[in-house]
Order: sequence, then structure tokens, then C-alpha cells
Amino acid sequence: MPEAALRDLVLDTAPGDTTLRDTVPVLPALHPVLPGGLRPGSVVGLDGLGAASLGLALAAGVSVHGGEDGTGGWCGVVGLPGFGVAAAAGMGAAPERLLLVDEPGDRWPDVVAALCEAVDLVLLCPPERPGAAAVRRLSALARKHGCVLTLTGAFARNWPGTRLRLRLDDVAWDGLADGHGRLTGRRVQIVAEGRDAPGPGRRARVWLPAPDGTVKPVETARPPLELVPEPPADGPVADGGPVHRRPSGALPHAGVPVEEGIA
Amino acid sequence: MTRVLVVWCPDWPVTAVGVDASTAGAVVVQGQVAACTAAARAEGVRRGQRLRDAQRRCPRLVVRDRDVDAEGRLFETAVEAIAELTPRVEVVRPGLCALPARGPARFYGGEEALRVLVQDTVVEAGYDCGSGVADGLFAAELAARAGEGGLVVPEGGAAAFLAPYPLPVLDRPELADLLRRLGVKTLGDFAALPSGHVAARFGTDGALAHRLARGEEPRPLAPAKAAADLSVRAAFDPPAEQAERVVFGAKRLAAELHEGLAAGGLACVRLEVAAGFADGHVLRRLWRHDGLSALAVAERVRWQLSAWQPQGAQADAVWGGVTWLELAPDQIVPDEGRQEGLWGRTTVTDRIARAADRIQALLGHQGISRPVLVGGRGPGERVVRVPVGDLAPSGLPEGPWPGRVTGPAPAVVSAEPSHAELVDASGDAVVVSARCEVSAPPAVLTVRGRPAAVTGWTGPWPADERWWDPDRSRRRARFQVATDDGAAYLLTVEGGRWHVEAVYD
Repeated sequence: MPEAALRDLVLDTAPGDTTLRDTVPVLPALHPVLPGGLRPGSVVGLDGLGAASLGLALAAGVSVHGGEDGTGGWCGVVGLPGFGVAAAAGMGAAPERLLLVDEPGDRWPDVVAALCEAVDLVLLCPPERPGAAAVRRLSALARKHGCVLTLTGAFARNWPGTRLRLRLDDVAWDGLADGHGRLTGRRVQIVAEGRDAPGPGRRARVWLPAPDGTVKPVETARPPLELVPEPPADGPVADGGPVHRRPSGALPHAGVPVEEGIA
Repeated sequence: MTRVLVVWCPDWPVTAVGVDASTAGAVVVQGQVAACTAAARAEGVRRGQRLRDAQRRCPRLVVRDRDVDAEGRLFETAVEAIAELTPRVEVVRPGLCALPARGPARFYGGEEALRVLVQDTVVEAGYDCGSGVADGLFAAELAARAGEGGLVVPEGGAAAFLAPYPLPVLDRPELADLLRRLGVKTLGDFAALPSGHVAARFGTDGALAHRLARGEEPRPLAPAKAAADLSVRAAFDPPAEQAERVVFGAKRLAAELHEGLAAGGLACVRLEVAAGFADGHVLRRLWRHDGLSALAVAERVRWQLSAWQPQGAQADAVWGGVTWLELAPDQIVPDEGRQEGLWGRTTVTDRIARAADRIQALLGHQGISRPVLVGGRGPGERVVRVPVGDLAPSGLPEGPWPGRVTGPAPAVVSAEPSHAELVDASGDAVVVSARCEVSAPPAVLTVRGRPAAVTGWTGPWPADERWWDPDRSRRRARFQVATDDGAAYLLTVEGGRWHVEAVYD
């Protein structure tokens, strides 16, 4: 039965492939704070305000750039019935490569163990304080299979051996005013702390999300606003032409897209 | 002639989506009624009718989309109940199953007794049904639909029983139409025609229909050598207390099974794993077997055992170790090899499928799902969760969706909207009038008992949905609110109460 024997061989060597991969990729905008990506088999904690968006961004990074040949990896989401699939898709994630286990109940360690062997990243919200045995077992499984375990929720801090913590700082929503406008984007500072980001940690300013739903770096050098000159008095404005003619020699008009707002 | 008992559950597609037979309900596929309840039929709703026409005849018609998977899954429970009486049940299609009647009839004391027993069993399982016994499947199905809950057609009486039926029961519309124009109106008339002439005039299919009409098997019996039993079995003596021993035995059995299949040039689509326990319990489960290796089969046995352990741990369940294990190939097909996709398209890889199988063994079929983005106004309506292994829903309405929430999607979409309080500067609740006027600018938002000052807000965005359907109509207004702690919410006000529909976390 040579064919079956070959299949056995493939099964045996499959876990070996995952150990060859040196990083689990993240979205390009997160590279300043996670240079190179996440370490396979590591445990990442997400804290405080914006933990859900950070989880979405990490899942999107794996979904876009992950997988064995970099064409897209799979993510598991355990215990998060409110996971914003549409927002993840906006950041670039492929919904068909997400596996959602909304209500794992008390079998969550078994569910995570099964997912660890298959996917590149598991986003987990433990429904209870994780026991020491479950922590040891799942951490070991994640290390063995090169799967990143991302923790969120009330018990995320109760996971010993978390080498990286991500949180948001300096959060500012754009686009909402007193009774009008709409939420368009949010500028945040992502802070990475822990043993994998030694010292004061790493920080990066990003749009999370940007007006188009993606994650983008915030350009610190904003084009200066300029005074728009008076419209010339001579003649009506041509149909479709600029209302305010730019006098020759003046700097080009720095247009700030309306969606981004003027900060 | 084989005696066949058929159990027929009327209007199964409607039953499967949870509509009671006494309420007027219908299942629609692409705007046409695919099935309806008896109550709806009494109001003039028919199969194949357009939904619009059906709703005109019966304005309080409960309409559901057809769910083929649910039909199959739910019918399994009815089949299980019948299988308690007699093991050889064949599911013809969801809503209709057949079993050979001769043996069971002798055991239960006659065909009528068996018929009533099977019918009562299914009714006890919670489904209305009819059952009939006759020669052959075709006559038995009609016998199940005949009278009040079916009847027994005596042996050799099939032709006489079928004679008064009109031709459309043959389910061959073209043939029925042609015969009607030739003056042949009933199965009896059709059966009276000489079979040689029927075959010459109407071809193979016509000859087949003619045999059905005469109460014979659709094709002459072709006695063939029975397929060799390829199932393999191992006994454990003393009973295996640890799963490891069973799994090890399973691996050896699987290799044996694969050798047997390979010798015949066969492959199996599904694999039934049965484990017998010392106290007589038997665990059976079917697994997909698309070229599984012996190791993979052993792994499935391990999942099957581990998934049942919590029940074994319950109070009075004594399992006492596994005494035997059997692997039976199901749906055997010629082995034509498999071609994997070369590139492109997201395929569910082996590893993903294994993980999903394992989680479904733990949590049930609905336990693990893949999301599909669809159209909708609110953020919660834009995602459909499809259990792994099921097909994605089709025929969902497409946009445009006037009044949908634009901008970046929220990061947390609560499955159950949580309660919130929104008050103005003087501490009074913010109210939205019927003309969508906000009573006062909101000042403080309280979510989960924590108040926060409102720094920006917008709205109301009214959404008046399904106003034509009193049961499902919703009238609400949405607000986006940002607070001074950096959070932003999508709030809904409905009937004067505020809810957090989603969080821009």
C-alpha cells in the first residue's frame, strides 16, 4: 500500500514544515512596532481599550500575508461572539479563512488545542481564569506548531509567559462633531511592551482604522494648510473648472480629503 | 416481489424549518413556493406558486427560506427512531424513508401491526407521518400517502391499488401530457397497454414507467453477487479501559480495511466507526473518508472516544471499557484516484478539516463556523456564520441598502445588544420623536454602569425595516457617539430604550 504509506509520511512531516517558518507576518503598518512580525509559538496579550481592533489587525495580517507560501493563512477565533468580521475584512482579512468558535464553553482548552495544530494564529478570550495545566498544555502546543496565541478579555492578564503585550495609547476619533458628521477614522499610538519589546517598548502611530477601513501609518509631516486667495473678480467660473484659481508662482493647494477631517 | 414499508412525513421542508403544521407556512426557493403546510394548502397555496400569489391568497403566510441541510439533519432523528425497531432503514430523500417489510412484519406480528408501530414511533419522535406497505417502493410510497395515515396493500394487489391514480404521480410530466392527449387518463389505463408496444412507442423511460404502473419493480431484478463485506472488527478482551489501546487497535484495523479496499480497486466515501462498550452501549459515528490514511482513521477514533467522555463521566453511566471496535466502509465507489487543486482558490486543507472535524465532535455541528459577508444595513446583519462543512447560503438579497451604516466597520458587534443609558446635560433621558427630532444633545452615556461624557455624536439615522410584516418589523434609529475615555459606540434607540449595537473598540 505505497500510497497510504506516502500519505502517512506527509502527515508525519507536516508539523515540521511549520517550524521552518521564522515569523508570523503582520500588516505592514504594524512593522515599526512588531519588526519582522510575531514570533511563532509566542503568546501575545491585548489589553484595555482597542484590544478588539488590535486582535482584528493581527488576524488580518495573518490572513493576508500568512500561510506556508505567503498567500494567506488561517486564523481561529475562540470565545469572541462579537468578533467584527466586516471590520477584519476591511483591514484585508479573507473571511473564508477565519474559523469562529463563538461558544466553546468549558471545552475551550480542547478547542484551542485542536486549532493550534491547524492555524497560524488563535485569538482567544478565555471564558474563565485559565488553569495552570491548560496554560502549560496550550503554550507547549502553540510552541510546537508555531501558532501565535493572542489573548484578550478579562483573563488575558492571567496567562503566565506572555512575552508581548499590545495596547493603544493617545486615541483620537475623527469625523464626529456635535450632532453631525460620522466616525471616519481613529489615530492611535500602538504600544508594545514585554520581553519581546525590551526597554521602554516600541511605539508607532497608525490609523486604526483609516477612513477606508484599513490600517495605515499616520504621516507625521502633514502638508501645511495655506490661505486660499480671493477669487478673481473677472468673469464667471467655467463649468467644471476650479472655483479658486491659483495665482502663478504660489504653492500648490494642499487638499486635505474631507473624510480625514482637519485636525 | 419485495414487500416495502415506506414512511412519509408530509411537507418535510416546512417541518424542517420549524413551522407547525397547523399554521399556514411555506418554504420558498427563488420566489416560488417549494412546499407548504396543510393549513396553507387549505387557503389555496400550492407548490410552484409565486410567493406574491401565495401571499395574496393567504396574507398571514409564514415564509421561510429552504434549508436543505436542516431537512437532512432533522430527518436523521426520525430515522434513528425507526432504526430502534428495525435496523435496515434507507433514506430515499429527507422526509421519505423505506425499509424492507417482510422480516420485521413477521417479528412484530403482521404488516398492519408493523405499519402502525412504525407510524406511532415517528409520531412519538414528534413528526406527523404516514406509512404504507406494498410491493415495491413506488406503490408503497403512494400507500403511505393514501387514506388517513396510510394503508397496507395486500401482496399482489399493487396493480389494482395503483389503477385509479392519475398519470402525474409517475413524475414524468411530458409522458403524462402525451398519454392524456391519447386518451389514457389513469395508471390502470396505461397498465392495460401491451408492454411491447409501450416500449416501442415511448422508449426505455416509457417502459420503466409502464412497469411502475403495473405494480412491478421499475427494472427486472438483476441478481448479482453481493458485495463482499469489507468491514473489519476487533475485539478487546479484557475490555480496553484506556483510549490509547483502542486507538492502537484502530490503526491496525484501518490498515486492514484499506488493504481490503485496495484489493478490490475500491475507495469509500464515508467510514462508520462503531465502538461497543462492556455495558452494551454502542457509539456509532460516520466520518468523511476522502483518502484518509490509517493514522488519520485512528485519530478520528480517538476524537470519537474523547467527545463522548463527558457523558460517560455523568452520574449513572457505566461504560466499563471498550469491548469491540468495528470500521465499516460506507458508500463504496471505484477508486479513480484523487486530484488535488494545483493553485488558486482557498481550499480547506487537510489540517484545517481535521481541526474542524475535531471541534465539531466536541461541540456539535454548529460549534465552528466560517463567516460570509452579505449585504445588510446594521453591522450585525452583514455577517452570516456558516458551519464548517455546510455550503454557503445562496440567493441572499443584494443591495443597495439605503440607510446602512457607512464608514469603517465596528470592531465588536454584540450578538445581543446590551442596555445603555443616554442622558442630556440636565440628566433627562434623550428621546427621539416620531419625526426623528432629538430632544436634547446627549451629554452622558452610561454603558455597563460606567458613565462617560459624550464628546461627539451624530444621528439619528432612522431604519424602518420590514414595516409590512408585523412580526418582524423593526423601527429604530441609530446614533454614533464618542465619549471622553476614547471609546466610540453605535447606539440604537428602539421603543424608547437605548442599546449598544456595536462598539468601535
